[in-house]
Amino acid sequence: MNRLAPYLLLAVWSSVATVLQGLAVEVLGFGVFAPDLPLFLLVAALGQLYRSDAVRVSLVAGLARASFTVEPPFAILAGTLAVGLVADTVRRIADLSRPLTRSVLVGAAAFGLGLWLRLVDTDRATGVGARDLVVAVEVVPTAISSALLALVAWRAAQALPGLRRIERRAF
Amino acid sequence: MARSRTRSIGWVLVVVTGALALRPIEVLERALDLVLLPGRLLASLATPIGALQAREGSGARVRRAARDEADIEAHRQLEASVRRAAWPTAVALADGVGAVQAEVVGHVAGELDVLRLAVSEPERVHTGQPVIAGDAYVGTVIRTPGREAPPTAPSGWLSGLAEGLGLGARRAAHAADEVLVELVTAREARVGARIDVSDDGGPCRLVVGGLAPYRPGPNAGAPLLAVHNPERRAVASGLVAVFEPESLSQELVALAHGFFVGELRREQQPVPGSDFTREVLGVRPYLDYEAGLHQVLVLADDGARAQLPARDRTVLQDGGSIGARFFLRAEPSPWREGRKLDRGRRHGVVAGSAVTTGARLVGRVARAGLVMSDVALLGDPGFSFSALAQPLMLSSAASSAAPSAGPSEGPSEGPSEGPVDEVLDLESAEADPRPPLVLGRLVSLGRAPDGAVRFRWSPQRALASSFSTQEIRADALTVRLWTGSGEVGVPRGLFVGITQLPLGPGVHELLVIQAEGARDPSALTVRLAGGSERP
Repeated sequence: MNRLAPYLLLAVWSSVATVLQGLAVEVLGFGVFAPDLPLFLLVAALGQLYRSDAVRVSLVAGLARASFTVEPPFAILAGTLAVGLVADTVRRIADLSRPLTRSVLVGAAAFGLGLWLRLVDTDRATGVGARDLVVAVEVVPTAISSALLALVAWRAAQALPGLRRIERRAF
Repeated sequence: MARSRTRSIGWVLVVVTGALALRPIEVLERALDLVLLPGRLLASLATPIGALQAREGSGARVRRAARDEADIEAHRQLEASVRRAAWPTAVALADGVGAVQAEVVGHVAGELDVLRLAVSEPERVHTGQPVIAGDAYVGTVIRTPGREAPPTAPSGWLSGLAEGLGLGARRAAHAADEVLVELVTAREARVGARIDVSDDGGPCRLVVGGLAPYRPGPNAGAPLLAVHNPERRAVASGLVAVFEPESLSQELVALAHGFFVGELRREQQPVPGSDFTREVLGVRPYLDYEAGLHQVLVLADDGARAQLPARDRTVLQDGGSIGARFFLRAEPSPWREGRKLDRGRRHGVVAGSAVTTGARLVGRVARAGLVMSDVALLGDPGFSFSALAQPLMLSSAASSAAPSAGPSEGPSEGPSEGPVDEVLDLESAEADPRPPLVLGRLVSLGRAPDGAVRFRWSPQRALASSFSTQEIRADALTVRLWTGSGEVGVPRGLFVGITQLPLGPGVHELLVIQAEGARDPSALTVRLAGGSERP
């Protein structure tokens, strides 16, 4: 019970991030230039939490994201889990709070996740060839804006209410 | 140690969920949908944002009501036109041959060669009767499941619970007017045929049925129908028609004697797995059997004409739809165009159901959850539908405002030439009263920068021969696009938009200006399972 509340808050923050991303993409008209907010939040959270929580945190973030998008839920789960595990691996050898590290990690994760989701969409779409959908260049602006966001908003994401409670339990 | 085990479990989960993303298993997707239910209920909290985005003033409401009325009238005209197109024009029905009107509902799941029809007079339809569309032969009736005993429900509390949660296997339910037709493309299908004037002079009898060896590829055309036992091997071209005279055949297929099957062709086809080609003798069919059949006639030996029931109510008023709402009018994935809908399987929604505003297509349900669904909008890459087109009778000034289409032999690049607001005036232009053009399947490639939706279109044959040069502007024809039949959950005659059809051969990219109000609709309905229109 002690741990349920912070995970619920993480789900709420991930949901809010997904909604904000949707608004940025369509309503504000940023399109592919909108940063991947839920992914950024996930990596920022993983940067400060106890490492054995990585899988659980990724699952919660993935489930929250999958609730708001039309992307296949299993694809979202696979993508966010992989991002969480890669971030956890990078954390073993580097300090994620350093600007260059976090920026490169978030940018690469956004690129990888975007490419993966495009691959799944292509595989599921009937009658459309791979060359029409898997356009890596479309994922690049998202990756760059996500990397920039990691540069400037990292501390703010880590200071979101609730996330520190998972951390406190850990140490 | 524990951390290492958790990581290992994590990577196993990545592999398993990744595999399930690429090769979905329906029952597991439904189970995950239940897991996601709390999150999706949380998503419903975003509904007020969506409602604010779709706020509609009283003026807009009045305009929408007038638009809906005009759409219903246009829909009625299209419907009448499609029904007329099912009757033969070049081939005369023999004395004593009757016909039953039938609308194509779709293909049997997993069997492209078996067509589901909804017939207007089920009591007149029996196994073995031939089916035609216009002057072309389609196939024969193989089953009338609407008259068979319904499948029994599984007993036991576990089955009941699984069904209640939407995890149980779906039992096939058949409407009373449902009939199954085996197409001439089926492996076992055979029909006697004849070429009256072949290239070597005289008539040549042959048997047609199934598909000739075929290898799909970028340069491959539509598959050919297989030819068996031609009377003369040298024959290479000619018009192939059904040859089953009553004097020779005791079967009901004799009713279709004289109807066309296609054109005999001798073509070079690539050999799978090599650079070589081989010569294939086959029949280029007159019909697109996958996505080009909308309304057909079942021929009967009772001599009665098809009875068309009075149809005062269109599909828009038949009670086969329910009102719905989008939660949030914004999709987080920038390369997708989708929405979350507040209706799911519990309300009768199935994957593929059309989401509409009035008589205008907004999108289709991509995945139906228990209480909510994911909707793919027109601009979502991979969105596809079976299309009909009605040429517009335009002045030269109006036609210049129409969206331009891509060139032949491959998709075009760049935006439409016509400004969107001018093109929307075309919605009120008068349509050609002739039968609509059957386009087959259009597949969305996403949205162009100017807002038009890019669709890939692979016509079976060039349209140029269907029109006189006075009727067309340059090398394209301005048309109104409608949904066709043949897909469960998508009624025929939903307005999609305006485009220009290139008349030449090859694969084309169409730039479709979406129907007004369909991109950001204020009032929505979704079609229900079993709400499919009946002739």
